[in-house]
Amino acid sequence: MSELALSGVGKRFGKTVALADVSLQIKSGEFICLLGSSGCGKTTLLRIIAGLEKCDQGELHLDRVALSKLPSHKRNIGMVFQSLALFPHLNVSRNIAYGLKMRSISGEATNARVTELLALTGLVGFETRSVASLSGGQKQRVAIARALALEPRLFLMDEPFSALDAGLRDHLQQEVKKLQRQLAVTTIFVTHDQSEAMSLADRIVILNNGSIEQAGTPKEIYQRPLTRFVAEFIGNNNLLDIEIDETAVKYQGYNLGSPQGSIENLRGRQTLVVRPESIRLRASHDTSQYLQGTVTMQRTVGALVECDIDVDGQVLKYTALQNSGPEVSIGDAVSLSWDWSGLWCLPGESQ
Amino acid sequence: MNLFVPRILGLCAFGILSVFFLLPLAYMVVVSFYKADPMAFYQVAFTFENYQKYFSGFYLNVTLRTLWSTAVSAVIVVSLAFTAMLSIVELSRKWQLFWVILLLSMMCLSEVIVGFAWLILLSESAGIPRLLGALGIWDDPRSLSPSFGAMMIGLVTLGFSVVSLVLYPQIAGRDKSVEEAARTLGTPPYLVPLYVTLPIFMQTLIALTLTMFVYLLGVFVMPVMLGRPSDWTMTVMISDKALGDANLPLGAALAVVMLIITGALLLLSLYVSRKRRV
Repeated sequence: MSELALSGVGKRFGKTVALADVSLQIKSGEFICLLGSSGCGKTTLLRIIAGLEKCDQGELHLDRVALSKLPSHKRNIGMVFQSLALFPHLNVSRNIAYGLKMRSISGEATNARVTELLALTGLVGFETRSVASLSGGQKQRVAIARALALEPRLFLMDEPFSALDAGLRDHLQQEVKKLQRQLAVTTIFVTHDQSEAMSLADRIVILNNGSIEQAGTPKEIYQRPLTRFVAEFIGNNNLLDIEIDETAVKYQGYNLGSPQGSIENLRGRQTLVVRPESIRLRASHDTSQYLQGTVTMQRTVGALVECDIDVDGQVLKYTALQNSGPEVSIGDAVSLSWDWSGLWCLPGESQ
Repeated sequence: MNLFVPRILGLCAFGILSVFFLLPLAYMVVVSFYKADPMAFYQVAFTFENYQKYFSGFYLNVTLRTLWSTAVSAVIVVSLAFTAMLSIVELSRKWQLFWVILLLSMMCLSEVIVGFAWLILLSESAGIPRLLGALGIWDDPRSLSPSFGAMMIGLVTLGFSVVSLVLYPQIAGRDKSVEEAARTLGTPPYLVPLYVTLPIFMQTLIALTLTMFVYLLGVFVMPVMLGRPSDWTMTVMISDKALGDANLPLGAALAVVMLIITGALLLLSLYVSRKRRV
């Protein structure tokens, strides 16, 4: 169980800023997901924590001990790589035992630990198998067992499930979460998949252009995005530029009624975040509703219906459970409204 | 699936192999049982005399020396090329390109030119000894060739560019995260090549060493130009007997025995390496 503190961590590759002044406190036993699009700096941050890259500025402390001068092989940080990076010349048992042998742990203790990890990761019976002969999921398990063999102070995972099919990915996500709770190891998981981050993390850290946009629980991130980037990145939110005065909320000439809910006390120009599932739809123009628009896209994704609705040039996203709203087709005129209680204005964008 | 074209191509390849390799080989085996005739290269007969000469002692010694020097130079070539490539792939793309072009240029040079270059470099008057003398490192500079060391240098130079260029794409394209994983698992960086990179490439390196071994066994110019007569390999001896002494049957018998020994050694190496893999 270890606490990690990052303060002002920065990294450049030539003229490109990979990380800029990243500060973060990670509590002992916490499961953190670093979430962001490609090139946002999440893997670089993970590699700096693992000691595989040096930061240009800032400091890292693990249990109040500075990490910067500690080489990678002395940090006792377990890492699962995106490519898994299993040793192709060693079988399953030897892959798992590698770190233990490097630490000169006795053969008996090594065997006992390997047996324990094989059982923990469901690999009993695969001890002598070559890693090349394993399936994708089995290889993932070997990589996890190998990284956990030394009882690491920190457990890092760099997009480990990105190459797996959806079913297996979902299954392994559950296994990893269960394993992490069981071992209570402080874990940092890098992903670009927001649903993966939502389902795994105790806390999500969203990175953009090398900086932290927002850190919070999955619920906070989803319900209360603090920046335009987070609002757009998480959950396909609709961002409406509105103007609020004492009596009305105005959007593109529409009067959306008096300010209420979380925006009741806000005034001036604001950016309203409307989640696709917060929108209520009516199949016809109805001026008693807030907005009128035209369906430009409609598709069914499993149990959900998704639509794009053009409202005076701005496309709004709408999502609902099948049969819970009106049946609409492309080109239909529709009216939109919403429940104000779940809406939110971006705090940094008020004028 | 129409197999006509592949079969025709296969037959062509077999035909070429038969005409240019199997038939001359069979002819050589037959000639090895003939009697020597200085006036006409050979006299048709059936005798084991040539093979008895081989096992008389002198040629056995030459064979052992040949196998040893060739095996050592093959190991040196592969070791040098592997470590050099591990370093070169870490350079910038510009410098990597420079090295690849340099190695390709080295490959274009004939054995004779490489041999002459080393003759000059190792000579007393213009080469390394003179430089060492001028620097005050060597009090009494003398020519370093012909010698066993000079011959080995020549053999290694011949194989180095070929092996390096074969290894380059494999080493440049390797998954470096495997080595990083080893570091996170407690391996000091200076031990990673030994504990991880080398074992991963071991099969490739064994195959390359065997290939180099066979290639260097047949090298003729380097031992003649850079080695002393006491360093000469069987290739030189075979040529000396067959062409110098006009004793084609003895030359053929020596070649047949070398072929059998080489084949047996290669089979043994493959067997051992396969057993290790299992």
